[in-house]
Amino acid sequence: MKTTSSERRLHPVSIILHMGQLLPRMLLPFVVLLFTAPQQRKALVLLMVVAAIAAVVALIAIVGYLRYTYRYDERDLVIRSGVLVRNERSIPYVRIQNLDASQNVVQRLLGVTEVFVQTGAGVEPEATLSVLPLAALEEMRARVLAAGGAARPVSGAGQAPPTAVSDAEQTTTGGYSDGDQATPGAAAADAHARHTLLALTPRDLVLAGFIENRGMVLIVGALALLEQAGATNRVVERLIDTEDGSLRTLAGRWLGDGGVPVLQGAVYVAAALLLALLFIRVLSTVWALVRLHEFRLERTGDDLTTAYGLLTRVTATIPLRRVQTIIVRDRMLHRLIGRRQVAVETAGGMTGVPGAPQREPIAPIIPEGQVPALLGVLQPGLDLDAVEWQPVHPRAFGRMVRSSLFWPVALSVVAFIFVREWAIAVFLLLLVNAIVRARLRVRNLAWSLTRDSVIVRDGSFTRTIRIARYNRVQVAAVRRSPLDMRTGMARVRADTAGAHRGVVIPFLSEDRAVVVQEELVARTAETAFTW
Amino acid sequence: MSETAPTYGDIGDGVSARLVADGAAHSLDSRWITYRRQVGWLNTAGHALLLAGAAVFAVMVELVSAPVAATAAGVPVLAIAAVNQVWPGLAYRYAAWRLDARALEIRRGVLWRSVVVVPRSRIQHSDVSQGPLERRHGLGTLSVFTAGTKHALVRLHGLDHDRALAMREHLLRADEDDVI
Repeated sequence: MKTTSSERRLHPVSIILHMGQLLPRMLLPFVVLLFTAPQQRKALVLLMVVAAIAAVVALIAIVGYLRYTYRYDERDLVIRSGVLVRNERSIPYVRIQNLDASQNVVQRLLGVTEVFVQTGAGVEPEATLSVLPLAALEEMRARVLAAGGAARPVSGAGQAPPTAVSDAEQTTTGGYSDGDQATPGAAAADAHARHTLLALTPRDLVLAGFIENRGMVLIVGALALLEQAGATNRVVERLIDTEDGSLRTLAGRWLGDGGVPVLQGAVYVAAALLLALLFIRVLSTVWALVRLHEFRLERTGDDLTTAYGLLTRVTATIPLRRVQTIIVRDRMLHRLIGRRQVAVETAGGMTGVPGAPQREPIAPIIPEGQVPALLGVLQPGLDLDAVEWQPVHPRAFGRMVRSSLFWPVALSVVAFIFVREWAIAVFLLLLVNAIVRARLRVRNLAWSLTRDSVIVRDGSFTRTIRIARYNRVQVAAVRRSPLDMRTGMARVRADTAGAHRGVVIPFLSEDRAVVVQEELVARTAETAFTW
Repeated sequence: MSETAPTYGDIGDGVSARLVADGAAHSLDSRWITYRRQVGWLNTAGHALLLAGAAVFAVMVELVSAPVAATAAGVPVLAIAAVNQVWPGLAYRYAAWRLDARALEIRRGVLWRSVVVVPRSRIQHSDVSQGPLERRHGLGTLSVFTAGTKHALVRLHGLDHDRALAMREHLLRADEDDVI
């Protein structure tokens, strides 16, 4: 496998890392079998199978490594890859929007990083280099920048972060578009003009983690791991099934032998449930602390950059022009402590690095007082306080309740099969839930067509404000379901290139919907859309 | 291409625009109903085959008696046939389209009704396609692609094929003058 002198390879350690990705999944069942195999000969055979698989995987990894090369041509970054089918990809430097990076723990220890080459349109990176030494990443950034690309240096991924500023510095948006990249010198100087918009302290992360309550994800992940190792059955056995299953003995000790008074039993169950829920919240908090460690949101010229993560360090860049919709979100707990969450949708997906496990909002948690400043950066001139909110149809509440009856009824019917009379309790609970939600939602629901954008406020317990600029709106559609037609309402959708299918105004009166659609089309048609 | 049908293709800009992008509301081509009914027959036949097979199987494994199986299979087939016969007429009634200098508007739906408006400046590109049955009836489908998500692809069925081609041509030519 000859390479010219200018062709470079990935870091050799990528062979091992690649193997490390493929092997566990393939080998784990065999390894487990190995430890449970009683006979000597069976064990030997298994060992040989494991060794054979490992050897094959190693071979694939080595050949893949040798075949993957990249070089810096005059105008393009050229990447060649492929074992059986050879592929050569040329990426002009000027098309490279940014170079995002992600490092997990092992990669950080080894001083290497995964690099994602992002170009203008589309969500998936044009190319992924896994893994490069940090120095190579810096070289790539420098070369791309010098040759006319926009790969600005970002804090994180091996660089010392700038001194943390915890308030949202609203330095004026004087840094205008240097999107031409005509003079490398000017570009380089501007590239260092970084303004920190948000830096989260561990306290912020604790709050964020507690509120978002994503502990279940970790538990499900752990269960999945157990399942892969084929160990679920044994774990379940140990805990519950057998005579000395741990949970059973615990339960026995609590409840005593013989019967349990119903009330006491119920109290114990409730307490156990509460503890479990609390535990999940705690897990969620810990995960947020790890996942969003040292979260930083910066503005560099025309881009937003985010950096975060303790085990996996992620740095990602979002060009402001790629923002399709802005979402301001808050749950009940957020509102209780005066916080919000701000996210943006870019073409086809949320922000974040493809390789990273999660795509994070640009502001996972932010004091509500700092939201206007952040919105001002994302969309100059956007002022939520000055919006003239319009209501929806006056009978929207009734319509909402009618359409929300489906699940309570369906679930109650199912519940009836299991718990007979208690199904009524189920139905009542679900009904009350639906009515309360509808009430809250109706009070919150509002919309507006401002000078630049369409804005909708929605949600009951978790509220969202979605904002889409007219120059990001693609299609204006009005839809009426049979229930809508009976109640004289309609739903308007301003479709965008973002993930959640644009901005929707539900429960408008039919006539209003037509007017709104007409207005949307008028404003949209007079603006141009650029990626 | 029949000789009596108007040709939209080679006429100069102004005239073709008038014919194609006249801003007036149009119904679908009336041949579309017949076409959809024929598609409906194919659909019914397919379901009938499936259900008949299931019925025969059920009888063979002595799950149910023959008359029961015949009814259980026959009734749905009749229902499907009825719907496939009636639906195209209904769909035709509630379908319409309009193309002017500013946007393409498409109305459709019987139970769930929608009006989709695609501003011309948001059309990324467009296709005209013709299935084999459509070809027999001289019909075509105009597909318009946008950068949206829910409406990334907007289809307009039931157009006269030549008209569809002319519309696409018109969209293309006007597009060249647009700022993209």
